[in-house]
Amino acid sequence: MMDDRAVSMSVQYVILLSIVALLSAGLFATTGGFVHSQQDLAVHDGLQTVGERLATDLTAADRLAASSGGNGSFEMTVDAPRRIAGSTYLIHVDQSGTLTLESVQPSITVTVPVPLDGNVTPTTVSGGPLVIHYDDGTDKLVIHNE
Amino acid sequence: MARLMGVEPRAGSTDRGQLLLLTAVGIASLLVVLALLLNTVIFTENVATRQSSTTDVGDALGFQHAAVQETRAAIATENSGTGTAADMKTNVTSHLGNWSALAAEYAALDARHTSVRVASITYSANASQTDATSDLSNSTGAPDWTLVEGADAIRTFTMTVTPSSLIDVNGNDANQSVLDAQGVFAVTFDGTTKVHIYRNGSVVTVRKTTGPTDAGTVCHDPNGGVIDFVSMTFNGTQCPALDVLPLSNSTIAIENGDAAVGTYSLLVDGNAADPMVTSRITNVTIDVSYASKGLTYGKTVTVPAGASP
Amino acid sequence: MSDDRGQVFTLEAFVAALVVLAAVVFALQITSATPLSASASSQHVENQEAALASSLLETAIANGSLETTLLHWNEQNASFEGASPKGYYQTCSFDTTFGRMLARTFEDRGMTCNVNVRYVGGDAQVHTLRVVHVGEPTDTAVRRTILVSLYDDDRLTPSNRRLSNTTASSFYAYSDASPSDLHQVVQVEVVVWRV
Repeated sequence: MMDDRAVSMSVQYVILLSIVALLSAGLFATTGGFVHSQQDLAVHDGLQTVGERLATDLTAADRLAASSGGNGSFEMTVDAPRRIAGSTYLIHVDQSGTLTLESVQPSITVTVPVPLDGNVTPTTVSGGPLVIHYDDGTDKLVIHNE
Repeated sequence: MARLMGVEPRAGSTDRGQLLLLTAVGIASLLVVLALLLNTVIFTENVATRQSSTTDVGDALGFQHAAVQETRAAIATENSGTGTAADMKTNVTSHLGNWSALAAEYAALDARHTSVRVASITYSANASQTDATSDLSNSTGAPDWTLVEGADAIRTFTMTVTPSSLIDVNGNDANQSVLDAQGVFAVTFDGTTKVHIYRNGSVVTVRKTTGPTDAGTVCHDPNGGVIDFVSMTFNGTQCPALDVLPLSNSTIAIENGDAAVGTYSLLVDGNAADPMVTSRITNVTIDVSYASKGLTYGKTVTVPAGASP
Repeated sequence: MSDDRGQVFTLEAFVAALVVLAAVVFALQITSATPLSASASSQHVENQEAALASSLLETAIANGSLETTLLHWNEQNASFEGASPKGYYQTCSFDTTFGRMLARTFEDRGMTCNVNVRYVGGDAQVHTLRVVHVGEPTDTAVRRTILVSLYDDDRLTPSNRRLSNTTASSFYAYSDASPSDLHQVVQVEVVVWRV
């Protein structure tokens, strides 16, 4: 009889343990997955916002460069956060002015089209405070880190 | 054996409890991470509503517009009065200097720095005589006088002389030095190119010579008429002797102005060299600069004078 | 022994629930508030108000009505002509062209305004003078400024006296410092908010 009790005890223990382990693993997995997806959304949101702000500033700089008419120069600073949801990011600017923001971890890419009249020097900068520089000599907008 | 029976169930129950606790702690930390994520999203939302540097662009352009308007007003004030080119430069510079200093005081209240500076001024000289009975010497009666220095472009230069007032050379017009010796009226450019205007008998003659021994080019008209240096016509017909353009930093002077009587009108880009010639400002070039936390802007603007009254 | 087991179970579960609850409370506490969280305004409305104020000031300068109102100064009373006994207008619409423009642009749209003029006094400090003061603006008010040049040849409208003939005690923007025909440069500030 003591042997039966011992067997039933260990089986009961194992079953209970496995049920609790299963439950907690399930809870962890769900919550962890939920947090991960929320982080993805937050990073996407943040990149979109920063991209739109940079696009607005670029358009304003383009307007200023057009009115400058090759007879002046200016430097405009853009306040972009260094990290978005804990992740650093890169900003690619191409010839026609389309911005591509790419976060490092998790890897999410957001594209923002910018309607420009003038020219932008294609470049890649890391996220953070930026400077948009215009020189009447080259008649191009240059974006670089501060 | 009783001990054995006692240990096992206790061991089983404490293990299960700790697992529950671990799960609880794990979920709690995940919730805290979620809260941090929420903070990030709220911050992003706040970043989106912040004012960007685009308002600074409006301010910079607005200041530039105000500076250009002020310059235009200063030019209009100077051009409506009389004064030498040096006076005009002093006045415009002090006007804009004052304006720049006061505007900078107000800009400093908003943590901005603005300034306007006069870089350069170009003038035009305007001389005219409408009394057809007075001779072509200057107001003090000097027959040889300089009208304009540093002339770059002639806008209008017309002259009408009474033929009877001109010197009759009686055929003695071989070259420049011969004409000079007879005291013939001439308009000189840089002192070397001279356009003599005289009579040969009753025929009014215009001769352009480039040096003392140069015979140059000639054109005649039996009755005289309007001499126009810009369209190069003498009494309406083309006259190559009036081909003195283009000018570059030249000095325009009159020799023997007492040997001709008539009217003239001259408008030239350059500096007046005689009190009889009035100066006008054609352009003022200003350096406009604006600096705020988000934008540093500088531009050189050339402001032309408005339509003359 | 089974009682101990049950109690330990309950205790562990209770503590686990407490931990999760504490985490939830902590998470709610650390959620940040931003300056706009408690604000009643919308950024779009503020931008629209700012654009209206800017274009109004530019128009007023272009048609000269702003300068006329600044020169509508009664030297005896040392206040604006037709103003309240306090020296400034107490309504956003008053009897000059600029006042009517303010009324059309703002009061007809359910907004109201304050107008201040800043000048550099004889002590080289910037002073502020109220032109229109309706009340204290709310937190959501917008502010726009513009520069106005006053010349020696300009005349105060009630007395028709030239600015160069005024004195420091008779005209607020009097200045004896400038040698050119520019008498003084003042900054006009318009504060607009919705009522």
